[in-house]
Amino acid sequence: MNEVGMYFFGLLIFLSGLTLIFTENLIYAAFLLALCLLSIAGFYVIYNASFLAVIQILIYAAGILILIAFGIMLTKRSPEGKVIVGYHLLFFGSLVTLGMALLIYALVGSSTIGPHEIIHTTGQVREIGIRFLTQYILAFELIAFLLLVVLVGASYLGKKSQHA
Amino acid sequence: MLDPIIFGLMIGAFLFCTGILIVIIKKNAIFVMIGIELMLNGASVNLVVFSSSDPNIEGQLMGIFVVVLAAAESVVALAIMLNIFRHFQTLDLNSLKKLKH
Repeated sequence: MNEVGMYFFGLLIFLSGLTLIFTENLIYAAFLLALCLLSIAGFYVIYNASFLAVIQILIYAAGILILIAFGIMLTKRSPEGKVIVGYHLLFFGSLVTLGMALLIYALVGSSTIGPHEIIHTTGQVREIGIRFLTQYILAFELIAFLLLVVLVGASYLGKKSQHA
Repeated sequence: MLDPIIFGLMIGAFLFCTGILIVIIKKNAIFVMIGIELMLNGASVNLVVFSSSDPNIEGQLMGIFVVVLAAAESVVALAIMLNIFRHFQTLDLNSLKKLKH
């Protein structure tokens, strides 16, 4: 069961990532990103991170996707609604990507990661809540402060400027 | 049968490389932001994969921070993009060359 889910979600991530590279329509890209993020959430469930999977669906697949859809709708110019995005720097980009892939492959291949069993723990939400309020309390409060700054900054940037 | 840790690392590396390729070759600023999201997800997949055999879930906690930071980043980036579009009437990265208005 675990193996099947692992390969299924891996295949979905692989296919949607490849299609994201080759698609030229921005609307399709947004929905492909939704598929990719949802399959990553499924992948997290297989890898014993169910709370993060829920967070992923809530924040990424709902929040950020809606933001991106609003961004596309507010910045399109063609009247029929299609947004076609072209390519540039194809050779340079594929060279950098190939180099990065080879680098990661060499790093993973040269490491001594033994075979591991995926364990399945229960009571993760309780554990995460306790850890956030004891061990990671500073990071938690900084995140709260950062979210306040982002709220104020985004509403300031988003309002129509006086002199434009 | 692949080892699940190795398979997860492959998926993370694939997401990261896809993100880099999209950031470099696409011409639209929103598409570049989609690539950045993919790169963040690749890093997050790596964290989760390494914490999957760890009884005290350190990687998952870091993954939650990654998700929150990605949300904050994309909100500010989209607000800036709306301002750029209002000013230049385009989001094509090759035609955004002027720094003063």
